[in-house]
Formats: sequence, structure tokens, C-alpha cells
Amino acid sequence: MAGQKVGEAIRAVLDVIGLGLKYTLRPERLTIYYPYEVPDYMGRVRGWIGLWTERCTSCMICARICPTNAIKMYMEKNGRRYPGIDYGRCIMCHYCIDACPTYALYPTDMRDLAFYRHEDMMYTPDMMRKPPQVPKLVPQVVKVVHEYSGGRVVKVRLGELGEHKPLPPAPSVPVVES
Amino acid sequence: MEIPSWLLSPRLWDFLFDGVVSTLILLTIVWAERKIAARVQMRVGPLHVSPRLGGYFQLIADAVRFVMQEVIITVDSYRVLFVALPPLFVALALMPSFMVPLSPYLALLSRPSLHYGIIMALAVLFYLFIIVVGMGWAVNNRFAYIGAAREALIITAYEIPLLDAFASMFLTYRTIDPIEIVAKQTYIVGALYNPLAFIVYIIGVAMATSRFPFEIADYEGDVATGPYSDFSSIFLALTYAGGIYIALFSYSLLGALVFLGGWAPIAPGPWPADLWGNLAAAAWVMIKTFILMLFFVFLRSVMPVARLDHTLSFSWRWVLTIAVAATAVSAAEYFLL
Repeated sequence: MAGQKVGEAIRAVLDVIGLGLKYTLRPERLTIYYPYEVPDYMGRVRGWIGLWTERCTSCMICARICPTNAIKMYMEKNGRRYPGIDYGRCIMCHYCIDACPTYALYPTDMRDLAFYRHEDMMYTPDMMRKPPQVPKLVPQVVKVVHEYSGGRVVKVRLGELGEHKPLPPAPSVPVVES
Repeated sequence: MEIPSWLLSPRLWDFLFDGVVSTLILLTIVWAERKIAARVQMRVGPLHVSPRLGGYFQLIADAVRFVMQEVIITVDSYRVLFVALPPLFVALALMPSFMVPLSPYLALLSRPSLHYGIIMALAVLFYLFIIVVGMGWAVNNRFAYIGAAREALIITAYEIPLLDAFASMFLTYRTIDPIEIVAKQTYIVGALYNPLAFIVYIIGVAMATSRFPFEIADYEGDVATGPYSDFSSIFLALTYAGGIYIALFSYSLLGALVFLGGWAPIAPGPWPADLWGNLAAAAWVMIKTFILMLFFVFLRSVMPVARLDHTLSFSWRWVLTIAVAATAVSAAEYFLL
């Protein structure tokens, strides 16, 4: 009010009331109702990390490049060491997948990981072969995306969520005999 | 079957109607405030307690939680006032709505005292600030002290302009009787008779019930809900989370009668004969009250918070000027109409 023209102040008050009325009557709500709707990342998201032990050469580059020291090399019965990921530490940066020379680690787009206990977060190599089963919390889960249409950002439903599938394996490389 | 006469008493019906409808309006208005703020902020607001009703039962859940919570009385507080003032706050906030008629024949007061209904209601409502200052003193922490001091300063900002707005309307209508006031608004409502007084009324009520942009005494960002900062459970429901809205309801009821024409287009007959007409008139008053309250809670979603000194200077420089101008307009209408 101080140092402001009276007309400007009145117009500002009327403007903001009009803006509020506009949003009250025609809201632009982007909220995703999580258990019922999940955002569709179209595969472009870094998620849970899997491992094919038959390709692993036990070079430990993944464990060394991990920025959070989440990867520990577990000794297996055949005398070799394979990586296991602590998801309490993992930040899903996928450096280990980028660094793996034999494509033994593979990416997925599973982000909805939740654990009851801290010990459940410690994945050992044998647990990393298959992606974990994520139970559906509600019977029908719908995929949604945010799209820009008509000057507004709107939420578009893309249909029901299917099962999580791991990405197809990378180009084949010689499998290391274990 | 003959209906006993006490069952058709207008006082009983006024009491029941006012009590029940004010409770419903209170629940709806708190829900509406949250939903409107959520819409403006691109959120959803309360939803999951009752998805089909848009989360309306969230308020019931909140009320149950408030009632079931442990009552905590802090060690440093003055226990007597700490316990006594929240119910007194609600009583004083709700009492004015019983002092005004809801239709020509539906009123708790009878004729000689009903004549002064609006004056008495205003007098009671202006006592609320003493309760708030007393709560700030009884709660006895620094935020409560600051909030109480702010409340004591804010009353100087809104009391004179608000009284002046109502006095202007009394001058326009040449009466203080609520029923005659409504009778004079049959074709033109008071807000069109004197728009300046209506603007002063809007600003004054926003200050009196600490609506945005004048939520200064109990603004969470500054003083941690101020005088109510140590209240929990039922005390919080009686003051900050509920009582203020009841005060807003009383102010809005007065505004609906004086500025929005009350039950104006509806002209019901005498009470027991035209029962439904009287109830329709009362419902029409309540709808107008609800719309006014909706506007006041809508302000929360769009307004910033003004500083205390800005508010005081704004009030004494502009609102008081507008109020004096409104009185001039009313004086002109008094002599011309």
C-alpha cells in the first residue's frame, strides 16, 4: 500500500480475485492418485537393477564406480564374487550398468520398491536374477501422463497398467564359463 | 392429532434452525476453504475419507480427532482462564446469531429487545477480542503474548470502520430494527444502497475474524497461531479451528441481513400458519450467509498476509476514509430518499 498507486492496488486485488475464481471454477490439478494411478515414464526411468550371473566376470568395476558404496561383492559357492546391491543406499544412478563391460547388469523401470525391514533391502546376487514382484495395492491401476493441450497441462489416462517386464537383454557377448 | 403449542414455538424453531444450520455451514465452510485453496494451488485437498463426496467427511474425522485428543494444559498457563475462555469464545461468537431474526416471525427475542438485535449482536461480537487477549495472557508463552498484542492493536483498526459501516446503513434505513431493515430492502439490497459501506464491512470483517489478508494475530508463519498456540484437542476446535468460523458466521449473518437483503424477496405470513414460508425465508437468509462466508474463506487462497503496521496505516488512512464517505452517502440518502 505504501508507495503504491491506489488504482494499481485495487486492480491487483480484483485481478487476484479473478484469478482465484478462474482456478476455483476450472482447476488445473495435476495430482496423481498414487495407488490408483501411476505415472507412465515410457521406460525412460532408472529403476531396479538386475544381474545375470553367467555373464559376470567378477571384475568389480560396478562396486568401485558405485557413488554410494551400495554394491558389495558376495562370494558364491563356485569361488567367484558377484555384486549384490543394498537398496537402502542405492540412488538408482545406474553407473554400474553403464560401467559393466559384459552387460551382466540390466536396468528396469521399476521404481515402486518398498521394504518392511532394513535387511530386505540387501539384495544378494541370487536375488537379483528376477525382478521382485510388486503387488498391486488396488485391483485396477491406471497409467497416466501429463500432457500440454489447449494452453493447459492436463492429465491423460493411458489405460491399465500391465505387468512389469524387464527390458530385452543387451547385444550378446561371450558368456563367461563359471 | 393436535400438535402441542410448545412444539410450534418460534423461539424453539429459531434456536434449532440456527444451531443445526450453523453447524452444517461451519462444517461445509471449513471443507470448502480447504477445497478452494487446493484447487487454486493445483492440489486435490481432502479426498480419501469419502471420495464420492469430495472428502466432506474429512471434517467429521477431524472433529472426532479433536474431541478424542488428550487435553494438555501447559504448566506455565493460568489454568482457570485456559479452560474457561475457549467455551466462552464459542458462546460469545454464536450468541449474536440468536439475537437477530431469521424471518419476520422466527426469532428468539421478542419485540422490544428484538428492536436492538443488531446493536446487541455487534456489541457482543466486539467483546471477542477481549477473550482473545485473555487467552493470549492465559496461555503464557511468547507467541501468545505477541499474538495477543497484535489482536489488541488490530481491534483499533477494524472497530470504528465496521461500526461506521453499520451506522451508515442504519442512517440509510432510518431504523435499527432488523425486520424493518429487511423490509426496506425488498427491491434494492443494502449493498447497492451504499456500496462503500459494504466494502468497509468486507474489510472490517476480514480483520475481525482474521481472514486473509489480515490474518495477523494468529498467522502461523509469524507467531505460531498466536493466542491459540498452546491449545490442543477440544480447545483448538473451540477457538482456532472452529470458534473463529462461528464468529465469521455471526458477522456474515449480520451482513446478510443488513447488506444482502436478508429474506427480502420472500415475505412469509404469520408463524404457525405459514410455517414453510418462514422456514424458507430462514433458509434463504442462511444461503446468503453461506455465500458471504464462502467469499471470506476464498480470500485465503489468493491473498498474501499484510504486515501489522501496514494494516493499521491502511485502516486508518483508507478504510476510515471510505467509512466516512459511506456515512456521507448515507446522510445524502437520508435526506433525499
